[in-house]
Amino acid sequence: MCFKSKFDKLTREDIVDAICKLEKESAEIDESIIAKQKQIDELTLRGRKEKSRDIRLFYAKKINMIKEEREQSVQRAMYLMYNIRLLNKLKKAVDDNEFFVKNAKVSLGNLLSDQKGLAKFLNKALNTRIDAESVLTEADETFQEVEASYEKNESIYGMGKDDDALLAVFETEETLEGEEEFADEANASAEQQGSEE
Amino acid sequence: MCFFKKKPQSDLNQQDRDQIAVNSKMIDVLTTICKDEEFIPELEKLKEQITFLQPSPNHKVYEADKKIKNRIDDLKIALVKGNAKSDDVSEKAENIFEDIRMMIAERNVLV
Repeated sequence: MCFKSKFDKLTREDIVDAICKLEKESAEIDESIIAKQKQIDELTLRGRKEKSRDIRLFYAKKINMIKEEREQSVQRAMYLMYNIRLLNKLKKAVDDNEFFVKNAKVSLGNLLSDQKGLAKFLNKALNTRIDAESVLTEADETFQEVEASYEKNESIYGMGKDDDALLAVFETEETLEGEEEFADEANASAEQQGSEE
Repeated sequence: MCFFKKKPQSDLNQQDRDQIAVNSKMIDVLTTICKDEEFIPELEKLKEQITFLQPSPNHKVYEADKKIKNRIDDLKIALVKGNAKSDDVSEKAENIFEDIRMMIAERNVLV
């Protein structure tokens, strides 16, 4: 038979109801403090205007009495505020407890708590990655090897006898063109010199 | 010795249905408590959204409904405090309304 402690039996609803009740009471006390302060101000004003000493004394006693009541209300309001603050902390603790209990039960959370299994899994993932990368690098090496073993076909891409003769003709024509240009330039500069003299 | 039996689907569905009914009644309570007229239409809209939620035997949906109930409780505190007319509290109540709407949308995704 399991016995639950009073904190285990405590529900969030009970705490919320308690807080609401205290907030209501606190609001009522706040209103009464404001009302009493207004009364004190009013009586003080009347007392100043009053000429009769007896009535002034009466106002003074009344003001003091209301001040005492106001002081009592202020103390109660402070007590209620403190109480509400503690109940809010209790509510937060209940929420935290529920949160951590729920999240600890999550299956993924349980997986993470198994350190050995996690290390094994991570190593496996790393090895898979390394294997995949080495497949690519080996393929790249194979490409390079095959390309290196290839020899250029000289018949297609190389220079034949006829090609050699034509290339010589091209070079000669290029040289002649160059000499003609040089001669033209020399003549032009000589004419210019002559006209200046 | 304790024996655990898996709840049948119909029981789980009823459990969620009951939770939805509780949430809906809580909104009625808030409508009575609330003295700020600004929030009454929002509360009515929220009540409609909550009342017509589809119950589900999914445990996650039930948990989502419980979270909504917790937030409604927080709204109750904010409204009781707000009856003293404070701007901060009005803003807090608005934030809680927004949270509840978002939780309802997320809950509907799970169904």
